[in-house]
Amino acid sequence: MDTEAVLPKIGLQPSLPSQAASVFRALRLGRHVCQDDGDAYYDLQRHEEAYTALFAALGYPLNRHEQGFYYFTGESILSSKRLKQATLFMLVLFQELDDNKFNEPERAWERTLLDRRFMLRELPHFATTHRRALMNEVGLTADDIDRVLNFLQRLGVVEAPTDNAFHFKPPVYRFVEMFLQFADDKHWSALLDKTDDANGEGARTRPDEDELIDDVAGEGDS
Amino acid sequence: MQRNPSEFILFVARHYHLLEAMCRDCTGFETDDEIAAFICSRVDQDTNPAWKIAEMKRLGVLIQSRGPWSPPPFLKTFIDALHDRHVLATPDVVRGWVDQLHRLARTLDCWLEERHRLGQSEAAEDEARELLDEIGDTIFVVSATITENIECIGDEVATYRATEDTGRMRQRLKRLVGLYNDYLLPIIGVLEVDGPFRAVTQQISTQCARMAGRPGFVSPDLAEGARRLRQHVAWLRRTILRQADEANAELAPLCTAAARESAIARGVNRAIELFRHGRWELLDLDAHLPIVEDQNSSLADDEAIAAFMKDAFSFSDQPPPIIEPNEPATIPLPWTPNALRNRLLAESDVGDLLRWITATCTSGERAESTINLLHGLLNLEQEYASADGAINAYRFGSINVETHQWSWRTRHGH
Repeated sequence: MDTEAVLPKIGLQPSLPSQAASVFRALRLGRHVCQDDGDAYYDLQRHEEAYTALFAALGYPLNRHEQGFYYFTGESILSSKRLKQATLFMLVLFQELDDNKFNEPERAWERTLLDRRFMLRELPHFATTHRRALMNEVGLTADDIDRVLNFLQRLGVVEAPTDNAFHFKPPVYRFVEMFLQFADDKHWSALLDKTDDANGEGARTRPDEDELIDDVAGEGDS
Repeated sequence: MQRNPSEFILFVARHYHLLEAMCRDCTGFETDDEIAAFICSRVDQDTNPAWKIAEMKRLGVLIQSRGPWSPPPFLKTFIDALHDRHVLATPDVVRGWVDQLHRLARTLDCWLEERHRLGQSEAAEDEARELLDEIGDTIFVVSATITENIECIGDEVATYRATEDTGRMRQRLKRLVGLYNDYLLPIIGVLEVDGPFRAVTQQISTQCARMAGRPGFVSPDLAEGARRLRQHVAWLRRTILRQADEANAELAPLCTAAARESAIARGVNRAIELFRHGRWELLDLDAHLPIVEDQNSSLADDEAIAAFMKDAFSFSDQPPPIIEPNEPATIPLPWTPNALRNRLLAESDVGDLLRWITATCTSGERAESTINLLHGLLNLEQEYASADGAINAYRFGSINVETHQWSWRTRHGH
């Protein structure tokens, strides 16, 4: 195949970026490439247009997140089981952060999410019966936390755990945004109501959170 | 014991600040001394706290539910609601004042039209003076109302920052978010460039300029009044805008972060609830969080694309340097007198040294080089070289050289 003849047709410069092979390998394995990934990230940033065109031609849409990382979306999607476990891990952790934010000097948790070190022994996932039951529901025991963290590390969401602690990298915002979608989705209210009705329960969110959101949305007391 | 509601309300009205502080800060009083100490800390020079305590108990302002004395819950709720609704003037109040300004400006417009048509009259000038005064007063009220609101918001932010109790922080933050949405943002809407306050003050400013700018149009004192009002309007407008911007800069980050975190927490709690009910599939993770993982499959199914990729990844715009198939030849080193001497020392005797040099150095040295080599060798080693007196002729190309015949005799040759 005549490479020089084909490249201009898909809008590429005659020369490919220097990190093309390693960037492609990483993204194809589900990695979210951010600044911490060094050369791969800077090469993506420098040649974003060329990479986008090349990967789109191969059926891998390249996405750039405003928090400064790149990732693929496409048809070969991660297995649900591991994603489900990772999602529940993040849900419980974020719930704990929000519950305790007023004990923090910042009185907020999202803005310090990337600076915070999480000690493995202080993780809240198995601290209460309720949470233990949740984690067991997706097949996770306390010994499996390493496995979840390794998986998140492979995706580029957390830094490799050192000294029994880990910290998040910018791709964690994919989870943050998913949870925001859950809050906004009107369809969810109906689903949750049905679930509550089926289980004969009423409370599905904490009243404080509902009130605050309603106030912020301008629907509160005026 | 039957209690009189109107007495209760009167007592609350007379001692509002004390009761407001009691509802906000007290967690219960065990003894009258504690109540008296609280009253004395909030009310300067209270001469008779005992009477006040007795009245509070008699009217039900303080009740004893489970041990300690405290205000009844309904009073706390009532005072909270009052505080929320009446500490700040609502944006509707501010809008009402701005509407009043619009009406006054329209009246002033009519006056100016009339003046243009009918000319000066003493009565008309009095009417204009009153209008300008009323406009000045109304703008001052608008300004004072907004300034008070903004100062209250500033106090609330400071209180929130100083609060240490976790439960109270959540309430304070909720109140801040309410102030931001219900008071500050609507007021900023009134004040902004395309808002009604800006429009009406601009209209008044133009009217004042008409009155003050045309000599003889109005009396000098009325013109001076219009000029002053114009300056006053401009100054107040600037001040209010600056205050609103400052309050917004202080409150917006807090409220935005609080709102976003609340929304995340709401999403988190909803999702956990689904997990709890075993309905996690409703999360539709594949749609909400698509992550590509193409670990085991080939790069691409189409062989042509695969071949192209192989080509593409190996392509670069600068071709690599071409390496010759044969190894490069060694470069012949030129003969030196030293090298010749070493060679001669290893050889048997030589009868004609110049002819030997010519035969040894096969790289085609010129006559000059060969003679130089002989000369260098003779300088280097006089012990073994000798001339026998015969003159020989030597030919180098087209050059004939005649010289003594030199011979070489090494020691082992003797």
